[in-house]
Amino acid sequence: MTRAISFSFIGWLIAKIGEIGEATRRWEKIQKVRVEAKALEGIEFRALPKGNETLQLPFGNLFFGPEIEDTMKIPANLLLKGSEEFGKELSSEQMAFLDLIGREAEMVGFDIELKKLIFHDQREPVIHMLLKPAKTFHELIGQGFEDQKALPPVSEFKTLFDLFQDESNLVAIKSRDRGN
Amino acid sequence: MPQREIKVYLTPHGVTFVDPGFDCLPLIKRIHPEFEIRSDPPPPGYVPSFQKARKTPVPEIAKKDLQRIRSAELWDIHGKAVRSLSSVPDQNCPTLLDLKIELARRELENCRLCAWNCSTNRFVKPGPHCGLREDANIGSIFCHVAEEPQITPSVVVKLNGCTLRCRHCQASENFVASGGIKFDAGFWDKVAKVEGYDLSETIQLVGGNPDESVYAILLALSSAPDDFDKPIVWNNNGYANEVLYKLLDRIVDVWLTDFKYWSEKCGERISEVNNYPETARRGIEAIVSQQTKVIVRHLILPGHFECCSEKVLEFLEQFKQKIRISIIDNYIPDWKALNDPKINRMVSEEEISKVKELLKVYELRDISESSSDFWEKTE
Repeated sequence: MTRAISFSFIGWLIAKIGEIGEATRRWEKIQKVRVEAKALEGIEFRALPKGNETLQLPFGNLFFGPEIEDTMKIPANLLLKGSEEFGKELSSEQMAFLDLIGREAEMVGFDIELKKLIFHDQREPVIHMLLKPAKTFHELIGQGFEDQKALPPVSEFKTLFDLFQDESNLVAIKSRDRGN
Repeated sequence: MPQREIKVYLTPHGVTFVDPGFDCLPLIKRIHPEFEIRSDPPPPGYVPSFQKARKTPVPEIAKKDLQRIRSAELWDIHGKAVRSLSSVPDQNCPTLLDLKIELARRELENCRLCAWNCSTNRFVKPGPHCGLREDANIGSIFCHVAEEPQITPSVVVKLNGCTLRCRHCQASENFVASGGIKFDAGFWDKVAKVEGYDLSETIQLVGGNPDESVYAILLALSSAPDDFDKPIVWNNNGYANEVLYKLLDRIVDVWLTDFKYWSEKCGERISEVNNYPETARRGIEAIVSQQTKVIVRHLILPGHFECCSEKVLEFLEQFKQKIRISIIDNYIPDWKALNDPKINRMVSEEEISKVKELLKVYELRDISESSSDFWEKTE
């Protein structure tokens, strides 16, 4: 057994109180994008009508709310894994912390998987974060393609949305799914 | 670039990093800018015990006879050797480390290293509980920045395979004995490349559980660089038989051992193990008889004060001059504990206070409050 290290919100909050409001607003946007990591097999790729779009991506599902432009500002490799109510149950401190860790972890090269845990003696969820050595954006997207060389260079698109706006990319994914 | 996965828990009260290493430091610093690595290192020029054992000849036997002598006789010679520690070099004699490697090899032919006493010949098949054959596999290596200050920063070598199945284990990935990096002569090059290695003060063998990998570890120690000067910390689960402690006498510099349960039933229910309390008690008695530093870790589990924590500390009182206590008070349910209503909660402030109060009552030395005499003082 090795030791874990714990930091209390107290103290941190005093220093960061000004950032919490902004982080909370950002979190509200993040809630609109939920990426649920799944195994690749059997995943169907399809696009739903604009305004209520769901793209089931090789690494999971993207749910787009009406403000697509805003939601795509989140880091591409922030993988959120949780229920639809995930965000609503968090305290503002947790939201702010999650937001901070999400951005910092990405900067130092981690992807993040999140799980919500409910312990029986408390109402607030505990968030289990698994920081994983980051896949590059290209690697992440490329999981869905048989021939990764067919992918456009990362520099040609800034966001996942840019990538999937291009119908030809969706076709490429669909054909893989059909085994062509 | 990060090389391993790291678990972080965001509770309603704060954030907990499991196994924080140098690779987490940028994140930790961002969250808690005042964070500093607390270190109370061994004195300059410290020579690890295993390096002495490598140079200690055992004059009672010739090197060529090492594999022919009966085990009982070899253990007798071993017992004298660890007490006398001859230092006159003799090329014809095995070293104390050679002797221990041979004894460990024989143990694996009829393995009773842990209290499952399976008697498996692990050169033929894996042990039924640890899952290990004769070799050792490393799940991950990193440099821990927040162990007890006396052993921090510590290069942590997480070995695969464990004899317990603690329902709350945060390292259940290490239950799988196979895979990973081989613990062999090439190990030393890998260790030297770990981020933070140059700043590390100790090397720590943990798991899973390291006990069942003792043969491979001793073999690897025999090929360590001559100038390797980091003390060895052996971090085990408290379920080893006396033979393990004898094999590691004069090899280990710091015993960092768990004492998890006092109640037999709690051991059975939570860690799926038989006879844990008696085994752990005998283990403590074995290690306090050695010229070694001893830290006993006790994890506070929710709802286990009366049945376990209270009685474990009461038992440890008799060794208070020889040991330090490390209370782990930030339990977070994981793995099977997430679906176990009895332990699916964090420990309360009251539970923590009761345990810490008992340390004072029994005058046990809390390592988090100990002065810097850990390495200097002979205990």
